[in-house]
Parts: sequence; C-alpha cells; structure tokens
Amino acid sequence: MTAPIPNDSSTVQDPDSPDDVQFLAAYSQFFAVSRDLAATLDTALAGIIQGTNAEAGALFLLDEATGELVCHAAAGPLDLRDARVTPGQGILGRCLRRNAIESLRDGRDDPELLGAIDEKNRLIVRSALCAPLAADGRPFGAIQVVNQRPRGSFNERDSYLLQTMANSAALAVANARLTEELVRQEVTQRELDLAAEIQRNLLPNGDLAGLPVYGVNRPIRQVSGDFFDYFALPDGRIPFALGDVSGKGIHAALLMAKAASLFRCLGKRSDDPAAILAIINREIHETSSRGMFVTMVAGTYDPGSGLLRFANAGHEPPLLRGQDHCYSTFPAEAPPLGILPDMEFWTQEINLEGGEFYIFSDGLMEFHYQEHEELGIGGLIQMIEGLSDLPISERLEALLSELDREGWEVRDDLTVLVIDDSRGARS
Amino acid sequence: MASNLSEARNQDVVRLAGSVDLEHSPDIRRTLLDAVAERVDIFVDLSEVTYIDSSGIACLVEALQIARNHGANLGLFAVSRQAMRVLELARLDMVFSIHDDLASALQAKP
Repeated sequence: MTAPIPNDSSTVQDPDSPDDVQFLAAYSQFFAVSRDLAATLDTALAGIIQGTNAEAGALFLLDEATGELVCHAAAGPLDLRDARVTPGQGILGRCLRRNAIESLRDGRDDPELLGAIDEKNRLIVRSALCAPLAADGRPFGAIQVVNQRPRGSFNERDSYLLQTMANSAALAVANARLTEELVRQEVTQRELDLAAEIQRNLLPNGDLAGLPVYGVNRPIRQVSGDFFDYFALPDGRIPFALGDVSGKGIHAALLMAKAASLFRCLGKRSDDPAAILAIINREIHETSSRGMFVTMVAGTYDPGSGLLRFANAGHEPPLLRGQDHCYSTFPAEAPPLGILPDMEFWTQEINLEGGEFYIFSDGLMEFHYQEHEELGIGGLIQMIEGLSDLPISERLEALLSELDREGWEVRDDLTVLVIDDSRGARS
Repeated sequence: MASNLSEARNQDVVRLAGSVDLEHSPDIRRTLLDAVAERVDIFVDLSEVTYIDSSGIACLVEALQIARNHGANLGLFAVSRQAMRVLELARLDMVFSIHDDLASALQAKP
C-alpha cells in the first residue's frame, strides 16, 4: 500500500489550518486500514518527516526482552534501521519515562539523539523533538525528528503535529501487532484442527458397524490424551484397548498417538494382553519425558464364545454388567505404562456370558455436578441401567448427552468403550 | 503447593499439600526436581494432599525416574486418604515405596 502523502506541508503554518487537518485525516485513514507493521512504520515516519519539515527522523520500538529501543524505520541522511539504544537520561529515556513529548533546542550533547546514535555519519543536531508511542497509557516506542529545515528549530505547531501523528501511528502499530498475533493464532488453530483430525483417524472408523464393540471419545481440549481402539481379526476375535495419558493437551495427544499405534501394531500379532502391555510399557519408558505415563486396559474379545481376556495397567477398573444386572469391577493388577521398564502384567480371563463390559477413562468418574459431587461408579451404574435398552451404537452417545443435559461438568478427556455380549448366539 | 521441609545429610524431605494437580504441577515439579538434583534420597510427605491428579503423579514419577538414574530413590510417607485412594487404584504402590511416617521411611531406607 502506498502512503497517501497529502499536499506539501511546507505550506502549512497553523495547527488549526484546514491543510493540517486534511493532512492528519489522510494519515489517520491510512493507519486505520494498514495491517502490515513494517509498511505502517515506514509510512508513519515518512509522513512525520514531511509534516514537520525535519531533516531526519527515526521510529523506535521497545524490545520487551532486553529493554532496548530498536530502530524500525529511519528517514534522512542516517540509516539507523536496527540500531539499538538503551533508554537512559537522554531524550528517548525522558520521553518514555514521562510518556510525553520532549524537545531540545540544542542537543549536541545528548547521547540519545539521532546524530549521536550513528557513530560513523554524525549529523549535527540543532534541534529535536521526541514523541512517545503508547497504548493504554504505556509507552512502547518513540518517534524522534531532528533539525527543522526552514526555521532551524521546531515550534508548537510541529510538536502538536508530531504528537497527533504519533498517537495515530501508535494505534496503527497496536492494530498491526494484534493482526499479526491473530494470524499466528489462526495458523496454530489450523495446525491444531489438522492434528485433531489425524487423531480422530487413529480411532476406529465407521466401517466397523456391526461389531459388538463401540467406543466414544470426547476431548476436553481440541486434542485428546485418551484413546480407544478395536478391530476384527480374520478368526472373528476382536482386540480392543482403551488408554489414558497423564495430563491434557498436545503433549498428552502425542504420547496417545504413540500408545495407540503400538497397540494397533501389537494387537494384530499377539493374543496375550499382558505381553502386549509389557512391550508397550518398555517402549514408552524408553522415550519417556516429564514422568508421563499411560493407564491402559487392553485385551481380546471372542464374540463366538463370550471369552474376554484382558490386562489392566493402572487404569480405572472396568465394569461388567452381568445379564442378571449384577455389576462387578476389575481393578488394575499392575501400574501404568512407561514408569518403570521391567514391570509384570497379568492377563485376566472372564466370560461375559451375555453381559456388557464397560471400560472408561477417569474423566467419566470425575464428572462433577454442582462443583463438588463426582458421578462415581454408583452414578454411572444408574445411568447405564437407564440406557441398556438402546442399541450399542446409540448407548454411549446417549450417556454423554444425558450427562450434558443433567448439567454435569466435565474436567477431563472422556472416553468410554463397551463390549456387548448380549447378542451372543450361545444361550 | 510444595515446600522443602528439612534437609539432612543424604536425605531430603519435601512436603506437598493441597491440590497436586495440573494447575499446580509446574511449581511442584520444580520443587521435586530441585530436590532430586541434589542426588540424595527424597521422602515426600503427602499427609496434607487433598487432591492429586495424573499431572501431579507425573511430577512424582519424573522425580522418581531421575532419582533412580542417580542411584538414589524417592519414597512417599504419611499419604493422605485421598492420595492413597488414587495411588492404590492405579497400583502405584508397586512403583513407589510408601511408608506410614517419616521415621519408618528413614528406617526402611528406600
């Protein structure tokens, strides 16, 4: 975008003159639409130099990390771009501290004047003006102009013009920074969306309809630290797993992807759940960071016989709803995966005998109601009883909807997997 | 919340209190890692812990792993009922040595 430089301001003499107003209006308009920080700064300075008839000028922004002022735009015989000044007792330091315009009639001794900052090409400074750039009353930079050409010194009208333009420029800089931040956030958001999509694809997809296993996963953030998996082997058996990575967010999601991939690979090759967990445990421990671990239930279900073999590594006890509506739980017999390298895991073997086997992340247990009460196993059983007539594919979705409707507050990723043996054709 | 309670030769006691969770885990992690950096056995007092989540446990696990790499250990003692419920459910009692009080922890030498 080109700067809308108005009429030659050498003709402007009075701060209240229509030409000044026109000049400022044109710049304000440019700043209002400018979203490119570098272009905004260059245009701001060019306009200020022209408006005040200065020989040279520079625009500085504060580097929050170092406390230095860094020159982002320069005009006139000196190329000060990227020059760094530590604001001290000179004109820049005073301007920032007072958050007010500073002027010098003879500033040859000031170390923070443009002429002094450029060591090689000294410029003799006869007069100078310095205005702060501020947002919310907090200065984040300054614009300095030196040597008014026709008169030799800056007058009140120049001060007025500089301060007014600096105010508009500050707004424009704040806007441009906000825009840059928004763009960065949009990029991050797009990457998160993509990560979430890839993660969803790690979970079983729709073509498994018809299997007597069903799972739901609802992340508390965009990506999940929980996962579930199941798939059918050629002989009809169904390996399954549900895992919960410690923590939440992207770091949990990355480890979730590793644990899920390991299970997908090993579940096709071994029918020994304890052996599978022992391998995943070692693999995760080998590359562990920040003490992160995974609780997991993994196993194999045989729909032909109702036989369920599974191992539980530090995970919330699965819940069996017997055909007679009696419930039993199966607490872990080994710690979570990834903590210590040589842990032993045990395979438990049960027959579902027409019952249903629920595995869930602790997010379900920790559902909160009105701040203090947790859903707990009793609450879960009550809900399951109310939904047991629904087909398997609808039951878990209905469970989540019911929790939403009842005003329960979720604080963690939420994952539930159910294995339904009630269709077993054995009885 | 976390604080170093006392420091004896070759041993350090760290007390955790309140919610040992995602919100507080950066501070807790720093305290525990500072303690294990001394390469001494660490005993963690969990008597005042009212809530512990997986992020809090991960801090203890990381400190344990580092301590073991140094040839030292990290044990827990006076574990509150709330914390013990979580530790037992996840079978973390198979990972950490857990003692009734500091005296028995020191005697057992993790």
